This record gives sequence, C-alpha cells and structure tokens, in this order.
Amino acid sequence: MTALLSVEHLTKHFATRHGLIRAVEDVSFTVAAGETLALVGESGCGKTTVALSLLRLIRPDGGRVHFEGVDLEGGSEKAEKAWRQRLSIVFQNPYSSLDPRMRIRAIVGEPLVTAYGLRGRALTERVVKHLDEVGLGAEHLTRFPHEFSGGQRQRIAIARALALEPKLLILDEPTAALDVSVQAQVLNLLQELQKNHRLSYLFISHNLATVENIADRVLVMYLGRVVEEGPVDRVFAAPHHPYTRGLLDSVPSTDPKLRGRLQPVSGEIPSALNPPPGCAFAPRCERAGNECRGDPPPLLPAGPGRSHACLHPL
Amino acid sequence: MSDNLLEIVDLRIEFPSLERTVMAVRGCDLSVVKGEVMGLVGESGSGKSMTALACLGLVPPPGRVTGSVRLDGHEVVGASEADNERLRGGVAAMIFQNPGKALNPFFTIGRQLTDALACVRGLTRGAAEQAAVEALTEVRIADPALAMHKYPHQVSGGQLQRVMIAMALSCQPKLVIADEPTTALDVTIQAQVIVLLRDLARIHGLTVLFITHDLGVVGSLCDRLAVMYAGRVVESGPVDALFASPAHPYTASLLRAVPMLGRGRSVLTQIPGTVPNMAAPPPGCAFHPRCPVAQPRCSGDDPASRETGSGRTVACHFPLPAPAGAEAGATVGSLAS
Repeated sequence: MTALLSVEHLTKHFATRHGLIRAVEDVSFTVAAGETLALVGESGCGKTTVALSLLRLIRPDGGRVHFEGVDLEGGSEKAEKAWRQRLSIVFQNPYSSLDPRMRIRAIVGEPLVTAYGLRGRALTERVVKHLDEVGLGAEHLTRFPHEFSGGQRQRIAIARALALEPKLLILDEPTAALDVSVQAQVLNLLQELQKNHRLSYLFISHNLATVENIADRVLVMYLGRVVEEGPVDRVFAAPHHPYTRGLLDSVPSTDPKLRGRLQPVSGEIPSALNPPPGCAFAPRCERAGNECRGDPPPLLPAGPGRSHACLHPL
Repeated sequence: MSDNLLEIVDLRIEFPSLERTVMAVRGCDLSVVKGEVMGLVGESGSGKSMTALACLGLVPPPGRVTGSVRLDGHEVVGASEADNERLRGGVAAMIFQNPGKALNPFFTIGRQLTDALACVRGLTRGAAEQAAVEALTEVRIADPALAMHKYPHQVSGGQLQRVMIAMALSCQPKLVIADEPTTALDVTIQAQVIVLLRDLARIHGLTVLFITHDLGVVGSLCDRLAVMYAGRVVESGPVDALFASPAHPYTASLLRAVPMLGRGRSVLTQIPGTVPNMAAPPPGCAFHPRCPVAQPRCSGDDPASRETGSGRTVACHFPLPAPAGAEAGATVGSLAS
C-alpha cells in the first residue's frame, strides 16, 4: 500500500540570537489513506514545527515530503495550488484562528472562492453543506465568530478545513482549548467525518488519553526527534522507550486506587539550545549508561510496525 | 466547634453591568475539613475560581459578594480590607495557575520570597533569607542557593510553580488554595508537582482546596471533591465513592465523556449543548437542558443540595441510584485495568 503522505528526514533548525535550535531533527513517517497518526510529545518537542513544515507555512531545512506521490518542494505554482486543496489544518485555538470581522459564510467560503471562484447561491449552498456536516445550520451563516462557543468555533474551523474536501487533515491539539464536556463532541465528530470521507488525520496532541481514543498509530517525539513509533494499543500497553513509559506513568488516573502508579520522570526537558549529547532523554533516564551519551541512538525497527530509538529498551 | 477550616454557605457573586448582571456564583455551599485535600472541579465559567477568590476576599470590583465564607472562624464576606489582609498568607495562601504572571519579573526569586516572609512572619532580612532557602529546598528545587539569585524568566514553568508553592507554604498557612496549578505544565512536570503537593500536604498536615477541571488530577491527589456547574456545587463526597457511583447526571456524564487512558478506541458519550451563559442561566436546574434524565419538574424547580449519607451531597431531583454491589472505585478501576 502506498502512503498518502510520506515524510523523510525532515529537519528544521532555527537560528536565534542565543544559538541554533534544532526544532526537528531527522523525522520520518508515513500516513496511509484513512489512517490517524498521532504525534505526541511535550512542549518544545517539535510536533507543531513538523505540522507547519508539512504545509510549507515554515520552510524546512532538509528532508522530503511527498503527498499523493508528489514532492511538495519545488513544484510549480499550479502544482502547489493542487496539493494545498488536498491538505488542510485545524489549529488549536478557535478563538484566534477565526477572523473576528468575518461572518461564518465568508470564513467557510473563503477557500471555495480562492480555489473555485464560487459566488452567490452556489457558494452559499456549499457552505451550508459543510456547516451541516459539522452540526451547524444555515441560520449561522450571517453570524460572527464571537457569537459562538468554543466548541462551535472549532466546528466552524473544521468546516473551513473540509471545504475543499481534502484527503489529509492536520489537527494541531484541536480539543486542548475546549471545555471538557465539549471535547467529546469534537472528538466524536472527527471520528464520524473520517468514516464518511475516508479522511486521514495527523493528530497532534500531548494528551495521551485523547490519542488512545482517536488514533491508529502513534509517533512519540522528544526534543525534535522521534523516540518511538507503532500502533497505539501496543505502544501504550508495552512501551519500548523509557520516555514513553514515563509519559504514560505521568497521566493521572481517576481511580484513587492507582495513585501509587503516578511515577513522574525526574528532571525537566533540557533546553533545545543546548541539548545533551547522545540520547536527549539520557539525563532523565534510569536505564541510561555511558553509551547513551555518545551518538543519538538511531530509530530502528523492533517488532511488527514498531520502532524505537533506544539502546536499552524496555 | 466543627472541624471545618473553611465553610462556605450560600455564596453568591454577581458582576453587574449596564446591560445585564452576570451571576458567577449562585448559592455555593462547600466545607473543607482540617487536614483534607479537597478538589473543586468545574468547567470554565462554573464559578470555581471566583469561589476561591472569595475565600480570601479577593473578588475584583465590581463583583458583589453575599452569603458567608468562614475561614478558620473569621467571616470573610463583608469584613474590612485590613482584617482580610491578615488572613492572606498567614491563614490561607493561594497558588495561581500561571506562575509566570504571579511573580514580578523585575525582582529575583529570592527577593520576592524574602519579602513575603519578612512581611507575613516579621522576620529580619537574614532570617528571612535563610527561611527562603529552606522553603526552596522543601519544594525540591535543584540548587536552592542558585535559584535565589535568578529572575522568573530564567527558570522553567515547572520550577516557577515550585517557587509559588514554596512562597505559599513559607508563611505556614493552614489552608492552601491552588487554582489550576498544573494546567499550564507539561504532563511529566504536572505529575512531579502533584506528587510534591501530595507529599507536602501529608508532611505538614495541610488543608488544600485544589481547583481543577481535570478529573484525573482529582483522582490522584484529592480525598474529597465538589463538582461545580453554573455557579453551584451539584455534587460532593469522597473521591473514590463519587467516581464509583456518581449521583448527579452531570458528574456521571463528565466521567463518561472524558477520554481516559486504558479505555481504548471508542466513541465517547458526549454531553450535548454547551456550558450555560451565566448572564442568563437556564431556569430550574441549570443542567436540565443537557441532562439525559431531565423531567418537566427540572426546568421549573431548582433542586436544593441535600445530604445522602456517607459524607455525600447531591443537588438533583432525580439522582442516579448507586449500582448494585458497587464497590468504591470498582467502575473506574475496571476501566483502567
């Protein structure tokens, strides 16, 4: 099966006043049609930089991105316009991602105007169709974003992202800014849309419970590198990388009986300006030895569909 | 004489404006027993942060506060600013969600800690500095002497929250109010702070009012919890019993709607609708428009909070029955295993 999206050796460095930040270092992965791949990690691990690099919202320093077999770099303007219609994004914060001065018809319709030049009734009909898919109605067309709740705004953002009927949707923490009672609505909506449209998702999150709920495969990142990859159920049931284990043990459980299981990793995420040599997780890792402080361990296959970058896997 | 360090009765907080009055808190009842860690859970706009601020007499103008908040025997509502100032720091201290905003960026961590100590405990500068280093050691900051000389922007969010905890504890308060102290932190750092707070509460016999929207954090930290919805406490009780058999439909729905690790891939039971607008809350029970078991009575008649035994209260006309043979923690436990 060919991958819908394939990313090879993606690298992005930022030169700052204080030095070079290696935000993304040699990241490779694929997303198949109809699949949800989750990208998890804590702040500063590079997950959002990966998303923005895919869309060329920031220009990566190295690596290749193929979408539907087409190299996203260096194509003609026409080719870029084509892939941009099939690759879309929903941002974390629906309070800042919707223009407060535009009405909902204009927000959801904008991509349709740009891509197909739709106008008038044809445009309205398409917008209503997409609003209907996310559970909103024609009565919302003339309203402004401030008239909606957080959950409804995220629905509008999803409707806009789906307006051009993309194949792949990048979801950057789509429920993190929402009230807990509303998160489930958005997660269920995303699952339903995926089924109806055979969409692929690249789901970026730091919430492992949400990832388990929605994703097929998971990619765990730490300080710009992939440390573990595999099917969600197997990775979460028996992680190979000590960092993945540490992340799972840091999720507080609603069962007071499992209180003792909360075993945080010691230490903090090192500065990206001055990352430790070798495995970036070594300073916080109980299993680390001297060999972990030499070269960064490569990401190697380990078992069906799984791989990890660790010299002392669990 | 009750054992309640904090007793809130029929607390109401209103913010009047030209167009309409926002009722942030609408008759909140809550008591916190000495030595317990009490979780106050609610979504944004449920009034949980305002309730916390009212405990210290810190509701910002033009907020109108009525009802009663008794903190260690002192009535806070209606008391003079001078009286309430004595409570802050000495009797109760607060830890805020965003430590970066709670600390002054122009002064070193050491200076801010020693100022607080000198002010509240009346220590000399030298004694205060020593106490500050001790306080930083207690919250497990890597190099306390070095941290004293750093400015807030030079340390990480997790370390800053430790400084805030050190500052709150340094004045030896009886009650610590923590308003979402781990929400802005990364998962692994959040777990460290939860474990730290749990240990400190045990060592010092602290009473903690812990405000959060995260049920997992409540499960791993708190002894009891109170669930707030639309400005009222709709259910309260011991954490294990309440999670095993929630009586209020809102609590039950919330427990099913939140993804939890170990449940696998599933369709979540969603709560329809959105959090009500507090300028015009629904009549009757505020949850009735979203409630799966609402009856006609619920839209007219606001249920009063009543005790149901074993230290539990619920404000619902039709509370859910406890499942037969329900053992504390059984439901959630089976899901997590």
